[in-house]
Amino acid sequence: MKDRKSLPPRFPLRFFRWYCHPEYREDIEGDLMERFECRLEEKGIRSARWEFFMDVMLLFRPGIVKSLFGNQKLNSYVMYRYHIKFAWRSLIRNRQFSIINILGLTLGLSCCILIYSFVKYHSSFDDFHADTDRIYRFVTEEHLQNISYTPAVHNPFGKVFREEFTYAEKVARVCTEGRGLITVGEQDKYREAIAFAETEYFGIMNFPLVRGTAEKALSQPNSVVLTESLAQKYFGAHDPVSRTLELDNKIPLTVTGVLKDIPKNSDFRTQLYISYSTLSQYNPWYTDDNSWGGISSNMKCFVRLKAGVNAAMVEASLSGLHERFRPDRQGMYVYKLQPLKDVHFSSLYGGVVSKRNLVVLVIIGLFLLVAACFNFINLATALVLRRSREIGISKVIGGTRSSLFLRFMVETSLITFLSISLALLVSRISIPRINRWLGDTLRFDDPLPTDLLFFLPILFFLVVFVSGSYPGVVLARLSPITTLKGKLAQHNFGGFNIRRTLIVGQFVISQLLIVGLIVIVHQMKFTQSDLGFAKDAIVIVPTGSEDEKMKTLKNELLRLSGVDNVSTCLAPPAAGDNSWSLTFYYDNRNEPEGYDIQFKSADEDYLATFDIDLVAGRNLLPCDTVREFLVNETFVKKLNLASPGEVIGKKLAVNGRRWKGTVVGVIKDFYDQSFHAEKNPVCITTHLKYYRRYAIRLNGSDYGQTLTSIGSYWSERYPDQLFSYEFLDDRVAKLYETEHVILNLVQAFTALAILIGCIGLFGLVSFMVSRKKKEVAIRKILGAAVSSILAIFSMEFLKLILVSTAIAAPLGWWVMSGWLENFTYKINLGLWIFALSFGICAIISMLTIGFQSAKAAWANPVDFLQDE
Amino acid sequence: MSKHHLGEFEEIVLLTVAILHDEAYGIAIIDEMENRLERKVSIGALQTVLRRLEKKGYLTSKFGEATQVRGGKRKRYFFITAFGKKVLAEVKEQRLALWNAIPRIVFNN
Repeated sequence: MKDRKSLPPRFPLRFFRWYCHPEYREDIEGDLMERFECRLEEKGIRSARWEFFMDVMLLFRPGIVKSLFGNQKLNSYVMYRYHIKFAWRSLIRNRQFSIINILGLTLGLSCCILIYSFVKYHSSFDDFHADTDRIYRFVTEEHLQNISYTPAVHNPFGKVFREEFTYAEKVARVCTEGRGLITVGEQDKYREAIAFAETEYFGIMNFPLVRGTAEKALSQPNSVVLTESLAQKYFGAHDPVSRTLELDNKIPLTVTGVLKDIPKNSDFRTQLYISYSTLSQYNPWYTDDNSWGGISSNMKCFVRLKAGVNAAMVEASLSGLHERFRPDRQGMYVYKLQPLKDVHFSSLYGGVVSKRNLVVLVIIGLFLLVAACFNFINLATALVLRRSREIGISKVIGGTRSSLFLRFMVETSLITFLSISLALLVSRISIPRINRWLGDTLRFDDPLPTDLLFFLPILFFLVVFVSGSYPGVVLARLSPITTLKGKLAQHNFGGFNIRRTLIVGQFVISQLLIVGLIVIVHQMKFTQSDLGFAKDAIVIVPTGSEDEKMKTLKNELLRLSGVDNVSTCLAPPAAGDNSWSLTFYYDNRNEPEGYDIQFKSADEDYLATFDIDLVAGRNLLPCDTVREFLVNETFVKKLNLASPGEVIGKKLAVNGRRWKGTVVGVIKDFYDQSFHAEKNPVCITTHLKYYRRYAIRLNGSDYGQTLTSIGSYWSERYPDQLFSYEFLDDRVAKLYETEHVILNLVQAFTALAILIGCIGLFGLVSFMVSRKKKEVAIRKILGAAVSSILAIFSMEFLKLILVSTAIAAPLGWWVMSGWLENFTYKINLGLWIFALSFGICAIISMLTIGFQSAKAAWANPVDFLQDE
Repeated sequence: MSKHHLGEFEEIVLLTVAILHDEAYGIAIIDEMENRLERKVSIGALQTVLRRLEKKGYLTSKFGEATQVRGGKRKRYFFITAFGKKVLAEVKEQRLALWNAIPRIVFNN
């Protein structure tokens, strides 16, 4: 006996014996052994074993492998063909039901594909950086009376973190600026989002350069890198490297590198990066090592931690950092690390779409799929009745339960397959349209075929299993005798209760979506009906300078016939990210109040331009420096004063007491931020130096003409700058963009859910009507009115709708109050909402039912009775 | 074009089986091919082709006697059938016809 060492490896041999066709097994194994023995002598055990393994692997191919279905081939192929043929015939025979089924499933499946691609796209954001799970953004919690969250840090923070802590592999500060004025050559001016970035930024983020390296390109002051498409826009086909740009007409920049275009699934969309050492020329405050006072939301700081460093550990060691530089601000600023993967989803820190919204969409998608499957089950079970004779005969001539079940599953697969193909087509066609409809922030991505390769088969089997198995079992279980005698009735297969349950389930889904829709629409209306200021026909134009020229231009604009009113101000009421909060001293108190006040500088025309009402006192008097203040009602409330009149005449000092004045009036509250946030105390004062915008109220209808003349006046005054404008209502709409998109989606999906429900209902009713034709005819002969026949059909469904309302109302109430929690100012969930959803559901289903049942009710009874 | 299409590898295998006459079993065929053609052949590649040729009727096979080597497994010897011979001859005819059709000048410069 040879020792084990000289035998071929055991596992490959067993594998070979397992897969090899038994007829070939002996001689090929012999060949293998012979080769092995030969090699053992020539090359030694190691390589002989290895080559044996390779031979076995190479033998694993179709000609050699045994058949999957055993060697004794029963010819079941014909059987499958028979199944498919029969499935096809029954699809054709029951044409109406097939179309209804395919239509419903196609709708549901299209939505699933769309939602899948939406969710997939949004969860792919910024996943292409190296070691994404170790990249974090520093964020700050500001603990005042309430906590506010800023996705930014104090200016010197990044430097201190890099120098004093050892957690980081790389730390990078990036200072973004939303609107930089870029001059290319002599004339071409562009408004561009710009950023001042430390070179490490490109070591953390995977934004590769196609020309140059980040370390070199951004090491010197006044150097800039830009993306390929931006370079194309600025310089056309010319080589961009070592060309010059100018920022804000004062800082010269030289292009030292070209970035590859930013991938579309990134939230960091800046296309133009200037070296960080240039920042002091732009605004020295940003680079001041002692600027620990306030936080600018522009100053971002990113870090890639060393492997194995825990974020919580870093956060813990950061506590007390701010107090070292500002001992008087105990516990006011808390630094946190936000994982890069959260940036896209975090609603606290300005993420694009919250995970909650994605989950809602996924749930809606499942709902739609379930509704479509319910339709299928309902119709198929009802159809069993019609096919009972066919089933009976199959059974008599030897069809087993399993073969009948299999046949039904093949039928279901056929329908599902057709529906999925159609759904794929529908989604491909509709995605570009949907993107156009939704706008840019929340878009759908074209799904890659590779993605769907996994998703579609799963969807397919899910649908086939969910919708096919119950009717399949019902059908296979039928007793041949009853079916052949034609005595089969509804109650024989107990399916009616199941069907009722399914219908109730569908109505619950529809009603949940309707309730959701009503609440969202109502809330949006509520929040936007009264902002507290006018937003229509107001154009915001930036100021070119903050001096006498600005006043001259204002007067010129006022003379235009299309202009009603002009105000120069820091920001319009809905400031968004242009807010400026300051600590303040009220009256003669020596301590600042424990919360900030929103500071807005504006001239005396502000109230008139934005239609803001005065509650007490008077308007500001024209002035160029701080002398008088207007405050809002929230200010009065926060100070716990009894009436607005009490603040009139009191002193107010802000910005470290540098600006002092008398309160002369109280204005009505307006929504300063989005509705998610609370209203803030606001003060308005005249301060020429801090006017940044013209708010121009237009009249008439020809805005285009007026805007052109505004533009020409503006450019005449500031020839070296770029005229731009923005309508206030667009700006306000941006604050609520996510809600709008979600609203649009929910609207669309609700409509689809109702449609799917209706399709199913329609099919079911037409089936019922065809079964009850004789009953209707006899009732009519005995004197029943059309209305009473309609009632027979409707009452059943009305009852079901009532039951579903009883389930959907509390569920909807619970879900929607959770959603409303996000808003500070919200509507109450009244009973009428649920009544309305019941009403909508009832009316739509009655219309669906009515069409079919009316046909039966109006028909001449003779037609139905005479065929016997 | 003949209706019996023969691939290049199939043709070589058929020829080798013919060369080995009565001694053609898996490893012998591989060795012969490796010697004559200096070409690496895996058992897998060869066996699939052998079975295919057998199925097409160009080859027949039968088991030999069991021996001490080869783990006691019998060899399967392959023989070329009359049909196989005919197809091989046909292929050769075609090749020759093609060679003859080449103008002399092509190889004479």
